[in-house]
Amino acid sequence: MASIHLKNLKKTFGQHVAVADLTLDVAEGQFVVLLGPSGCGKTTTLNCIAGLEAPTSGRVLFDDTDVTGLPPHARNIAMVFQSALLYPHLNARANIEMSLRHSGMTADQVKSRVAGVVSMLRVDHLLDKRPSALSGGERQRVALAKAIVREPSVFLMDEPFSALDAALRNSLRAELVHLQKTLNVTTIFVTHDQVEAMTMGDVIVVMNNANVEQVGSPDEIYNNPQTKFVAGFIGSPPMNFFEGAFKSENDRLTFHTGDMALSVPDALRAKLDGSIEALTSVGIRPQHIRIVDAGTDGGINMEVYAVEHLGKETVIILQSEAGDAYRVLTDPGFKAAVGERVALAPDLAHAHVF
Amino acid sequence: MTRTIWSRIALAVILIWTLLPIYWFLKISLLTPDEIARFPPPLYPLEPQPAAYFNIFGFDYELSNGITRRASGQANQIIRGLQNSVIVSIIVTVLTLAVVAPLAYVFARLDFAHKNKLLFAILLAVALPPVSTLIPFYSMYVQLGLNGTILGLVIVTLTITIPFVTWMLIGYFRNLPQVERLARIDGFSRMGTFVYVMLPMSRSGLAVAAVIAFLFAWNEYTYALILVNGTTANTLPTAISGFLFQHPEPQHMAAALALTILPPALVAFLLQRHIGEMNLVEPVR
Repeated sequence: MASIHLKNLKKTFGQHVAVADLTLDVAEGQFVVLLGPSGCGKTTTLNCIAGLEAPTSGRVLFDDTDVTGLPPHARNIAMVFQSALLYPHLNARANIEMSLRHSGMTADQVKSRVAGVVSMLRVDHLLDKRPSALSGGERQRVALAKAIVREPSVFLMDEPFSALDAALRNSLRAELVHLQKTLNVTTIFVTHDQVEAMTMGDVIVVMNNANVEQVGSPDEIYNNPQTKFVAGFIGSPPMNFFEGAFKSENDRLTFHTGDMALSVPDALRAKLDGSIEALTSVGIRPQHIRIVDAGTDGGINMEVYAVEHLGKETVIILQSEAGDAYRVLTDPGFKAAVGERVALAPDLAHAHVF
Repeated sequence: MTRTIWSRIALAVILIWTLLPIYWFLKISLLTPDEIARFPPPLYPLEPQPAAYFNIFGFDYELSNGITRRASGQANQIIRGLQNSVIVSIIVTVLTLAVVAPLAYVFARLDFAHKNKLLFAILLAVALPPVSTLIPFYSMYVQLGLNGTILGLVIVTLTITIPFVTWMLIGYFRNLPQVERLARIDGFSRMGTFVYVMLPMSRSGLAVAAVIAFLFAWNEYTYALILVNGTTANTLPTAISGFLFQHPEPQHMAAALALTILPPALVAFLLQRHIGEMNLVEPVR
């Protein structure tokens, strides 16, 4: 177990800046998820922590030890790669044993280590099979066993579940979190899947364009997004944004979007401390919007574009006259026909402003 | 349904096209001279007898009817040719693999300056027809005293096999999964990764590369004809083609031909599992 500290980490590839200036502290035993769209620098960050890439500048510390110049193997880390990369020409047992090949352990020690891990992950029956003979989930388990057998101080995972189907992902997610909490190993997990991030992480680091947008617990990230990017990236269906401006008249605050003026309730007003001039958009989650009859006072007129039935709820996708799409969560019984004219009534008390 | 019928017909045509000539000379090698002279020729040996195979190695063979078939006059040339061919082919195969495995790996998996230009230089060598370099090689060899030597033939054959097999293996290595990162995490150095991970992983690719190199060396004719023909370093293909001017007995000629196709056939047969495995799109599954 180790804490991880990144100090002003920067990585460039020629002109391209992959990671701009990243400072991050990960406490011992934490499960940290690096979340962001592809190309945001999350995998590069992970590779710098692993030692697979040398940072252009900045330092990587494990506890108080500077490991920036150390090769991967000297850092006592274990890594699980995308789609559970294994040596294709070796069977599962040999793959797991490869992790200990340079550990200086005797054959007996290796044997007992492997046996322990194998029974923990229930892969005993797979040991003589090659990766090509394993299913996606089995490969994943073997890859985890290969990582765990080293008893590393840090686990690094690079989108390990990305190639699996949804059901398998679900069960492996729970298994991995359980394992991580049992072993209490500091873990950094890279993904572009917000559901994975929300369900697994103690801390989520949202990255975009080589920068960190926000660091926080899943609750904080969801309920209190600091930037518009985070607000739009987290949550499914995604948050709706209304562009416009706040105006203060006679002690009455309104938000003007298109030709509508929405009055701002006290709950939101309390959050708007200081200047309101710089704020140009209001974000509202789909569950905080109601659909009302067209022409209703305080409603924004729209047309029903599509209806998605999810079983326990229904997502109505509306299109404004300007062509923007808005998503509203309704009860499953809600009836709407494509092309129907309705109005949308946002509840500004739950709004986020940017 | 019609599709399977047509594909079977096509398959039959290809099989006849390939196998009929081989069958024909194998048949001739088992006939007696008077059977060969018969018209129309017999479609299969009525009394197959292995006399020719003894004769070409310099042994007399007594037929069941008491007639002795005398040893071939070309026996010495055949034995020496066989020896040289085996030596040259094995040395070429080993050297080719030793050079090509790291070379192709580096081109396929690592990045370095001027990579594309260097790769193009290697591939250019494949594009040159051997005949175009024949005369320069010959005059160089005369000055260096390499003509008529096995060493000279090995060197010149390597100039064909190395670029060609490199080109072939680059494609193979490129399609292997990115296990280098895995190996680095496991503590392997670059060299260690190549030796302990990549080489064992690419067994089937290397086996096929070995077959190709061996067959190239075994079948090499153009250079051998100019550089070693008529010397003690003569190889089997040039030795046999030389018989045309020595009026050999047809069954001896046929038996010598069978001898030349035997080793390649054996090699291909033993390695067919790897050849089948060498799927260029997804080499290791």
